[in-house]
Amino acid sequence: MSLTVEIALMWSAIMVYALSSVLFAVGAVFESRKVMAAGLWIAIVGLGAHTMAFGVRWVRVGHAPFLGFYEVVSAYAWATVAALVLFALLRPRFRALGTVMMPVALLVLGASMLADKTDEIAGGTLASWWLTVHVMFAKLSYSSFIIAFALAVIYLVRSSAGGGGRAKTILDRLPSQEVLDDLSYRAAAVGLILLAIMIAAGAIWANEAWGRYWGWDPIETWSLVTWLVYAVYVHLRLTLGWRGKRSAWILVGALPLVAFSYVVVPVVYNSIHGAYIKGMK
Amino acid sequence: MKVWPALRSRRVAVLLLVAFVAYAALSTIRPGEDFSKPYGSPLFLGLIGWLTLSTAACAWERTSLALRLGRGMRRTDESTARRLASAPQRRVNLLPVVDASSVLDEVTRALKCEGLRIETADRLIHGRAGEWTLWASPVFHWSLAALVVVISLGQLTRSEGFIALPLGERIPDAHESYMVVDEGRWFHERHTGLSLEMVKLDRTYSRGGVNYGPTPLVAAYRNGVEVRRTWIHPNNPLRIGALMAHYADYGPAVVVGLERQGAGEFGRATIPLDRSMNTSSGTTAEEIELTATGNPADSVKVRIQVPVTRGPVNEAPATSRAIVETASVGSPDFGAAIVISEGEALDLPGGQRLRIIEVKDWVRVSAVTDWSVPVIYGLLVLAIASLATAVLGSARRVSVMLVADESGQAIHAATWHSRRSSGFAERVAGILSEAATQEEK
Repeated sequence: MSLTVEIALMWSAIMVYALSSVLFAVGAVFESRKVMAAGLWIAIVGLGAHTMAFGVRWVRVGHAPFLGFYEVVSAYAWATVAALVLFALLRPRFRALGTVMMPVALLVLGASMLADKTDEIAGGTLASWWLTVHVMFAKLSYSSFIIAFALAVIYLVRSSAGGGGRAKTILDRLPSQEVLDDLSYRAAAVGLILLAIMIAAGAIWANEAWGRYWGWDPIETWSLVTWLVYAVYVHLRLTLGWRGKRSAWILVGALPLVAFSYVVVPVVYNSIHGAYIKGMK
Repeated sequence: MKVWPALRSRRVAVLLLVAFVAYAALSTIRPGEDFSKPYGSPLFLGLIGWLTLSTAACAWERTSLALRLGRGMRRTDESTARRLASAPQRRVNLLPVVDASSVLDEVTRALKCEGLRIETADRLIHGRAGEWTLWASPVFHWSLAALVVVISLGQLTRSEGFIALPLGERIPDAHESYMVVDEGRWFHERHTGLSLEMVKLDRTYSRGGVNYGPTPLVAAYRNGVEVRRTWIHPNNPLRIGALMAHYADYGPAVVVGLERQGAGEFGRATIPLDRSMNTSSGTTAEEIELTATGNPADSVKVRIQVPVTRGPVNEAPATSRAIVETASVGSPDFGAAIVISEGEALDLPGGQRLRIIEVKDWVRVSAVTDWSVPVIYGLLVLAIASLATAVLGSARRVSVMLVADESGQAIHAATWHSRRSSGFAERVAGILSEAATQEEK
């Protein structure tokens, strides 16, 4: 199926995500649950268009979206919206996370649309089922980290607004600060486990493909740095009792590190590992 | 500074992790291609060593804690009952109409639904679950410490290098067979003793719908007996014991024979050539010094290339020919290039002849000898499984006692959750309240 159809679907997804972001923002400002609910349902429609675009591309190129800047970054946008939708459907009280996550998804998808959309063929080193495992856990870990990030942002916003002193606000309908704090920790802890699996899968695959399980390649190193940052967070929380605002600020600061590790480092550094995002050309 | 407290210190552990993060991040900012160089520095090795000792100390402490907590969870002696009777965490009074004998049955049923294993004794219930998860954190930390040790030992006893495999020639996995080799300090040339032979080179190898291009079929031999044969391409190395061989590159090789007039062939050698974009022939030119007479005055420098075709069959030798230039040893000037076909010979000074015996393919394989890889994989799996259990799992214990005092009949309870979850205590409180149908005191 043609690239034209795929790009049309992607632009549709962008426009719908933009509308969803606006609805979440309006819902937050005017304290309307109905508007926020509409924002979520619109996000689901956008996710559908985004998924169809991936499906069109997958049929044409023969692999999931994990090669080249365009595919990789738009997949992270997809993972952001999917994580929000899943979390908000399971726990409707957490719809307000959309005020944080939808703008992130919109910006990320917009950035991906600026990149070259040439079809990339998965050959040679990339022709392995380890690629699916490695990339899947990268996306899952990112989804957990962005949930943790969004919960931490909401925690901090509510703390600065007086910790829920005003009645009947959208943020006040969220569970207590303690629950937000606990959930953000759990999301980060799950992300830590998923990232560990991603790193281990990558090491095993590297040994199969290149004959060495670790080479201190910048992409490998920054993945480890990201994992260690979240490991420090877990240590600070569990052994030194860091909770509340301190915990939230760490999670807010850690997500840009995740984005840097997953997207910027492969683009900036010349390494054999970076071929997946720079393209196989 | 006392060593053991410093090693056990959680603050120190966090600081070490932060130092590791900073070192690793800063190391990627350095220019140059050798990203691994900073990780051989004494500073980094010292940091890793300290972090490993700290992890082991933490693992030791957590092991003791797990033993202690596990014993505590299983304790159902009189001291537990006395503590529960006199100083419970929670007391729920029973309504006068409530049948006391049915309360414990109701609580037992509800606690079983919570996944707890119940032991009952007279007016006392003990429920517990997830004791095994207490071992997750020590196992995780022990496996991390073991991982560092195994990786370190593996690096010290590892060998990695390139071996040339000309078609049909059996090459032993030995130090002298390597074109270039990096051996760990404790490796001591302990190669596997296997021999490798390229049986075939398929320039258009495909498998599973993927075109891998030039791919060698390599056989491994032990004591002359073939033990494995594999098409080597990305993600499909030849693996046997501690040896793993990956395909790296291919090119043409020239088998030359040196003859002495009247004495026949004196010796032969296989000269592998690398493909090159910078020469008209398409390969690099290798220089060798030859003499068949033993007289240095008869030594000759020979420079050999092979013309290759560039096209859909991926740079095969154009024909079975070699381009040969010769020069006297000590002279910088080579003579005119001469094209010699397979079987033909070139006269050299001193009654010697250089014969082109064969032009064929060769491959460069990357051969790694590393016993630690499967152990590392096992430790990674153990570490991740134990991390997941430590973070997501929980050990829980509930003790419930029916008491009668001047205030009437009541339930006394104590709960414990390994992650101090308030949700568990609230659920137990709900169970007790429902059984007692009484507001808690």
